[in-house]
Amino acid sequence: MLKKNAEMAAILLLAALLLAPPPGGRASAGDKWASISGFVRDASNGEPLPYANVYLVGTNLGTLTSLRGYFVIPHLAEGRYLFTVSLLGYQRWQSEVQLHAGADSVLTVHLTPSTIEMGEVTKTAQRERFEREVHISTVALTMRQLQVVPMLAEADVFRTLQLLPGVVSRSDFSSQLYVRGGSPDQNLVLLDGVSVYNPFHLGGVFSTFNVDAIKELEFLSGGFPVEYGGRLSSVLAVTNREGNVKSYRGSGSLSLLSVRGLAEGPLPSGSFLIAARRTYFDQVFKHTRYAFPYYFYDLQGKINLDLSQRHRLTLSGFYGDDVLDFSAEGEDESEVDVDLNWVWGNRTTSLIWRWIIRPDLFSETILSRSRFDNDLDATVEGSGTANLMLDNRINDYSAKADVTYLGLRGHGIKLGFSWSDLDFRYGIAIDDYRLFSYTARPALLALYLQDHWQLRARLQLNSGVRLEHYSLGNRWSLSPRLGLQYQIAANLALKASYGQYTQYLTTVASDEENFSLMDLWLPISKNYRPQTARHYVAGGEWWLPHDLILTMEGYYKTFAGLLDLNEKGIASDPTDDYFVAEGTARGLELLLKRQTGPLQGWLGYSWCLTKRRTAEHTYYPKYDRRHTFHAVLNRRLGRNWTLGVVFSYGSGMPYTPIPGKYMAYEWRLDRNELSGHLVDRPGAKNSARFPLYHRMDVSLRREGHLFGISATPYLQIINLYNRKNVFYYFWDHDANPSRLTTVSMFPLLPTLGVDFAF
Amino acid sequence: MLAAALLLAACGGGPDVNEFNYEPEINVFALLLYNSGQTVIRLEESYRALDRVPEDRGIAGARVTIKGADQEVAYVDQGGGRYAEAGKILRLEPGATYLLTISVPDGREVAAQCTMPAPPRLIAPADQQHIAANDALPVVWQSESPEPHFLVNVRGNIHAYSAEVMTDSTATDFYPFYLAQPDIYVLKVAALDRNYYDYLRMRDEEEPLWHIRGGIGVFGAIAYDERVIIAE
Repeated sequence: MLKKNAEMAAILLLAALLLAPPPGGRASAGDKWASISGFVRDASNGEPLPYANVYLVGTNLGTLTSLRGYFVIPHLAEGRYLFTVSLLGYQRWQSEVQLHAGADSVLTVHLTPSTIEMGEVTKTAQRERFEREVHISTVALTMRQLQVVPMLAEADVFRTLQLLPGVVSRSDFSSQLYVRGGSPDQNLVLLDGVSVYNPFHLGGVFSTFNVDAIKELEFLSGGFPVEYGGRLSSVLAVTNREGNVKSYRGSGSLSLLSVRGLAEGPLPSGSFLIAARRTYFDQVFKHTRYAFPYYFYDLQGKINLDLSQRHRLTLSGFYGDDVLDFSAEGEDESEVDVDLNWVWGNRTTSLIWRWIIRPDLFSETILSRSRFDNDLDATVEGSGTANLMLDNRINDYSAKADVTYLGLRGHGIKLGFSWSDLDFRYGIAIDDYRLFSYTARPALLALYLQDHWQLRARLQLNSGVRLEHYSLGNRWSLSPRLGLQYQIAANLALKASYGQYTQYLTTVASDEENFSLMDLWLPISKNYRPQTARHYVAGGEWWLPHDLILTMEGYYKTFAGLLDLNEKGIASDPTDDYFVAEGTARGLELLLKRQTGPLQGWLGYSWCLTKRRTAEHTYYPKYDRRHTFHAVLNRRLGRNWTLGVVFSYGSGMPYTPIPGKYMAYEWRLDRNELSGHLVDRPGAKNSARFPLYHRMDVSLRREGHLFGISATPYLQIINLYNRKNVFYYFWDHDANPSRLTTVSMFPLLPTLGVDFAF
Repeated sequence: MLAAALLLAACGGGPDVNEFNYEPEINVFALLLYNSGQTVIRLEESYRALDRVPEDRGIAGARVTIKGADQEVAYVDQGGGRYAEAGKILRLEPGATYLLTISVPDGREVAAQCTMPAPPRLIAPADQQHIAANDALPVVWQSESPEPHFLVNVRGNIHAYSAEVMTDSTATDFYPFYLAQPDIYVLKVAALDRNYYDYLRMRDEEEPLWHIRGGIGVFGAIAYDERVIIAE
């Protein structure tokens, strides 16, 4: 029945695509309405400005610019208007415009950055977004906001997100995100619209995105709209800057971790940006006894070309690798020589075509390839030689296109599709002998339709449906989504959302692993149903005096078909590769934030209860942290100094206790004898909890000039009071009585660096 | 905020393992070995995590019997937790089901059941077969066991290098590096009953399948076939 419904919905959606308004010129001459459209850009570098507030003074007509800086206000009566654009951190722009019936006035507005981040202008821009959009469970952060949060060595996207309510971090060593009771593989990570499969370096200690190149990131922790799919819990959409269209600029940074550089500038009819980052410890200690044979690097670039007023092409790429290159010679003949070269990393390439078909009808098409490689070549040479090779690869070839139509009064309609060809190839060989080989090539097709409907002046509805087809097992799924916002009072809005989500990929990860170098992604085979989730979210946003914004959200999530790797599965039985689990997550989140004035930041608290159920037992997953509190504060001290403080508190996370031990015997088949050793007698899964987690980090930055260039040195202290937060416990049963060792997370770590720009 | 953080820092510490109230359990290892006709039995206590483990870990004075294939055999305490047949020897028959019962002096009781698998019959390689060292070795066998669980082991004579593979199919490849050196190797393919198979796979899991009522450990059975191969 469901399949039939899904097929019917597919036919309807396809029909809708075919019947979409034909591409053509402007509104007809006989049209009684006027419209105004165009782009809003930064006056200093020409970068498009998203979420700028564009409105006509004296009316309630207005809109926000898109992520690409585009705006359109349709259905206007002929006449003269005072046209105004405002955005947080920029001076307000105003001009009188004369609009004529049947004509579209096209404007490009350049906003000048303001030096003082406060006042009525910025409040208005913030408020407009609050009033005009249904953006439940959504947080947007800019490069500037990322840079001022104290972090280990340098600013980091994922570690900043870990400080938001609803997001849990398992340890200081991991920047993976556990969002509202979901595991990290349930997060969709997009870089300029392209999926990134392992967005981490050094096993998750650092994230893969270089903040210098980031324009904005949007993080949706639940109830996300139909244009996003394929994951159950959250979406992180990172948008890189497009490059300065006015002049050639450069910037750089030197931290204890890495050296970074960025160059940008104009091109004929466009702009370019190139950013690079590399760790340097391997070079510093290369010829010393402390040789450090590991490094990582990222390289990202973007070229924009405006083919005409209506057509823009963007070519962007990201290349990042972790490299472990290690050689050791045995000191004598009894020791072996080892030669190891291990390279793993992401590569993404995308071509984006934006076409403004008419002012109220525009499209975006993305062709992309995302690839993750994990290649190891290790040779051990002793009395003989053995060579181990790992050759693991994911290739994701995707095409996406959507059309947005604003020509229907009160509606914003988006219609789109995406298609992905996923190629998984994993192999292990020893001395050219293939130990293991796995290949799979599923295809994923999605069609979606979304409508943002301004029902009443104070009531907005976002509704949509996403239809997906997954080729392994020929599975269809239909995912309705709904978002609602009601402006109950001038300063208070109530919001709610509902959504169904389906995920066809999973990662191979043991629940008990404390550390994982990378995620190994696998498509769900035809023997298992896809993983699904439902989100129910409700909350409110309240604007308080002193530019304070209080957001409160409660949620309830159900999960079905969750897959946990069964490491002891029987090889020839494809139906016991995983334990299949159901689950629930419920929680309450409070966020009090202030983004203007000398003291900025947020206080966030979340309560979350997550449970998993398998056929055998019910348990709390290892990331079930009941209470989390973060304070992220930045205080300007005088003209040039900024003090940043982050305090994090979390109740203990579950672990499996070891209350006992026993002799585990085994009959040695080769020697026909009994052998045994003491092993752990584990208690019930995740039935104990680690002690409280808390930590304080501080940073001090000074903006200034050095040799004529802008320079911002900074000092950061991680774990200021050297709290010994527990990472895990380790039992040594070789000692009698057994010895318990507590392994702690980050100790007190001072780091320093300098950012410069020219 | 710093004051509050420092106050919090004063709290916490290591886990109090005694809070888990773990009561030691009867730890059984009982294995029926078809080829030698032996029954290996160890009977011990488990321990709390921080307890000192004594030299003699055995449970003394338990009543241990195994019933099966129309027999009932009693096993007597040999000291150190070892129990062995005093007179009558248990006859092991492929396909027969055996029931182990244990009563310890403090009144606790343990029971478990296992089925003796039929020994597999090696098809390849042939006995005394000469093979090239550092080459893959295909191993193929036949089995009449309804539950096909196998342990395959190869061990060199000179290098005493031992490699083992668990499988549930009746063929496997021994990778070249297991037979890297010229040597005389003994290859064994053992059929395992479900209990011993699960024990070997899952004893380090959080919640292992013990298949034992009233205790932990295993009551299992194995039967094997073997070949000698010469790698040159």
